[in-house]
Amino acid sequence: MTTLDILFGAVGLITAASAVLAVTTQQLVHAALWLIVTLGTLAGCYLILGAELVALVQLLIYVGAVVVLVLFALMLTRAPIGRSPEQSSSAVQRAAAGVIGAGTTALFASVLLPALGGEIRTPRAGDTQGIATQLFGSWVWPFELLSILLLMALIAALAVSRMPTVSAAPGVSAQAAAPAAPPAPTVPAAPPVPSVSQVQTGPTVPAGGESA
Amino acid sequence: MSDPVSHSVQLVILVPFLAAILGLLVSRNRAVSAFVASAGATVSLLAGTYVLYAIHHDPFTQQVPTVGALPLGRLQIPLNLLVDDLSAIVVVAVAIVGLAVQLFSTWYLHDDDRFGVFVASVSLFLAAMFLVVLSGDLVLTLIGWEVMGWCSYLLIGHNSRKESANKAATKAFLVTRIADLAFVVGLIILASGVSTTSIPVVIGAWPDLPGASLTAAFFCLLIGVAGKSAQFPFHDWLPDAMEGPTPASALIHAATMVAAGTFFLARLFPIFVLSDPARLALAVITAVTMVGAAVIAFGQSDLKRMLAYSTLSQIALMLSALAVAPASVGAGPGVLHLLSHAMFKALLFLAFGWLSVLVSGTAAVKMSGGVRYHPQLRLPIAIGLLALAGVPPLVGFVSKEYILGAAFDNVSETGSVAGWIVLVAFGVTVVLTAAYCTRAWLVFTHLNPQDEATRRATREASRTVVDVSLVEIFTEPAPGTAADSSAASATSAVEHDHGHAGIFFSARLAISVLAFLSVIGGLIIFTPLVGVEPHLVWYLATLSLLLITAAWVVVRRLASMSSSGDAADLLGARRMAMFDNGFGVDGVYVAVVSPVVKLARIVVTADRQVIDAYVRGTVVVTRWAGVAGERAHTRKPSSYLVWLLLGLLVVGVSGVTLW
Amino acid sequence: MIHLWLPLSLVCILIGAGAYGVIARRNAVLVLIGVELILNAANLLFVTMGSVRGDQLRTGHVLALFLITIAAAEMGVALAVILALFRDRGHIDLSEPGS
Repeated sequence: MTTLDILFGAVGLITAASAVLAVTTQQLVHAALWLIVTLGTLAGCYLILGAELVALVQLLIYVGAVVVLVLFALMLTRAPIGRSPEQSSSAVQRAAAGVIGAGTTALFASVLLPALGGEIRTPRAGDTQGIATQLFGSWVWPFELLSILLLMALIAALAVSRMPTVSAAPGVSAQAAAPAAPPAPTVPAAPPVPSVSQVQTGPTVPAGGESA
Repeated sequence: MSDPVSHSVQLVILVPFLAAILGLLVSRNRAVSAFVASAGATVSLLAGTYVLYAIHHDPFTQQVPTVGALPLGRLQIPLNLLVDDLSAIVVVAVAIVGLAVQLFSTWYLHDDDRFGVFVASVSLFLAAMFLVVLSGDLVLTLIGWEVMGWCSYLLIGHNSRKESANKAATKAFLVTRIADLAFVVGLIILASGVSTTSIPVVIGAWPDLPGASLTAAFFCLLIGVAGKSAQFPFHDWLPDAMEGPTPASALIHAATMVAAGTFFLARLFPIFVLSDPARLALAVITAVTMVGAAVIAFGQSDLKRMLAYSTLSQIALMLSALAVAPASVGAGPGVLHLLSHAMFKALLFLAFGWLSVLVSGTAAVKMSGGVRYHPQLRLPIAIGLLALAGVPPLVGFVSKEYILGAAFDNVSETGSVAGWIVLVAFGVTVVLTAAYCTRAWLVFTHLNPQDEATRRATREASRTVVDVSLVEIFTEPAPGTAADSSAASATSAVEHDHGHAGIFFSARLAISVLAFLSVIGGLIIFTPLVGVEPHLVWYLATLSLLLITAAWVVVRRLASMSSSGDAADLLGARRMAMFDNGFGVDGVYVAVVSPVVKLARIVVTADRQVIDAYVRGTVVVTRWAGVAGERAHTRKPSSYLVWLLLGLLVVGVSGVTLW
Repeated sequence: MIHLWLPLSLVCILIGAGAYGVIARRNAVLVLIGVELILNAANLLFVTMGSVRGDQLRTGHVLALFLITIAAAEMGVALAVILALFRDRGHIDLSEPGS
């Protein structure tokens, strides 16, 4: 057992445990919080493996933005605080889930471990310079496409939130696709491009009385 | 060997065929289609007459090519037409009858909306009959044979809105087709024996081949001939075929199609004489038909059906001539009776058709006294019935005497069973024929009691001093007397009563020509046209005359005992119904066929329940699968996710394990 | 020097947990959490392979970065949809039948 092994084992154990807890706990908000732990320790794994840039980006984006988004979503959808066993699905479904989860694990294990598991390698040192060169060099086109993807995701989120629904009041929804102030939409209409004439800063709480 | 003859022969067949096609195209225009049909028949008649003249001017036998030989390897099919004295005279006779029928149809079917189709079908039929007569190749004979059968179906079923006509047409077609199967087998045997279908070669080469196969071939051919010529046991389609219009019956079922079998056997006569068992079989069949049909004819309540049964009997007569004539006599008597029967039977059918229009029906009760009220029919019907009965010097007498002579020669030369059978049957038939002819005449000339009183009063009031009874029979009543003018006006009133026009000149001309030929046709024996020698067995002729006279007297006596002047009334209504039914031969047909029908039903059931069940099962399975698939749509996203990941997992595992 | 089976087994566990989370949860947001776990497992695999068998193009690490980006975009849209769903129906329970 090398040092890297022991380090990785410890951090990985926490990751695995928190992941399992995230998916099994009956308290909804705790699930999001365990997700934070998982993602954070995963960043630690990346560090151990020598990928510093990736680890930092992971922390920034996943822990900093995505999980915040999840928490907001839970809040806005009136997730119950505390234990809520009625939020768990039926036993049959959980049994099916268990089968599928175990099956997936077994599948990947049977592929990965025989192929690569016996090897011992030295992770190379973190090479931010090299990654940057490659990122803006060989991978520039996918990079640009990804920026378009992000733009599309932003527009899609706005469009979905402005979609007219059956019981919709001309309300607003708060979205943050990126750490930017979300513009609030106006009267629901079809066009995918929102008008930016009315911009409201800060998220606003949707009118609460639509449905029960 | 001369080209005009070849071209004339080809014209004889081609022109009616083209007239048929053209007639179909113009069938909506009545006048044009009538013209086309009559013109076609006239051209054939002229061409046929020219060929007849050429043949006898400078005797020859010629083979005329048609479309060229079929290349079939070892079997040679030259597809030639054969022109000799036999085919020439028959062509002319068929053309005369055909033209007469076309002219008559223009009047008879005057108010029929499918007139154009009718005359076109008649033209097609004429083309087919000419093909059979002129064919020098077994294949061409078969083609003409089958086309005639099809035209017969079309013409019988002409009144297609009547269910009985459709049924009769189908029955005729099916019965003759079944017989034609045997016919084809016979032709195949004949052709395969000599590896060619050319008739002269067949006739020339078969005498050297084994007699058993020749007999087998002729048995098969006889079945086909029996079917087409409506002999026992295939006879039942002909009386039902009277559903067709009368001109069609005149052409097909009296003069031509039913005689095609006779012609074909006459053509093959040189080898037919070599096969004694086949001739014996033919003699038996024809003897049974001759006598049976004449008996049934006497008891028919519908006079047109009586004519049909009479046709059966007469055809049996001409076929029996072929069955017993010795080789030295040849096919002459049979062919002679074919020609004479064509003339007087067509005459009778057309005259009956005319009368049926005037009295709007063909039942004996309707036609009763018809000739008295419509005197212009007196002469044609009288001539026709006299010829049918065989009274000298009409053509019927001549041809029957020749047949009698041939049978007598057979008996005296060889004393064979066939000869005796035919001779005895002939004698019985002569009596019966005369009997039903007399009965028909007496029905036609029957006087109602009140008309009889009127007539007596007229006679007594008349100032003309003549022997009225003789005048009565042979002339129309003198115009000008009050009663006669009322009778004449009644006649004209009846003529136009049914919306039918008065008879056209062309139709009357047709009937008159046929009547004329029936009278003088006997003179043909003095020409070389038919190939018989003019001789007569005097004591046999006297015997038959005595039999005819005896029958006349007896039937007259029976008729005077019945109230309606119909001698057959004495049979009683129930027995008449049996006669009308043909003694239930239809039932025999059904009994023969019903096991086959049952078997067919079993097969259909098996197909539907057993084999189709698998096909229907796929429907059921698919429907169940659909229901199951629909139940899988729970509309719950969580269960969809389950299925999705499950599917992915399965794919992944299979990919990994099966790699 | 690191034994590769450690990161790889962590990958497998994370995937299994993520799959369980996707199926066993009724709340849509918790299903998304499961999806996140699966994405992160893939990310770990990328980074592992990029670290121990890196190539000239630094494929492993670059793709890991891309994957993070894509996951973020996807989360945004998914949560927008969930909120629209909540507005429409009043709940985001995935085991209720749809309308």
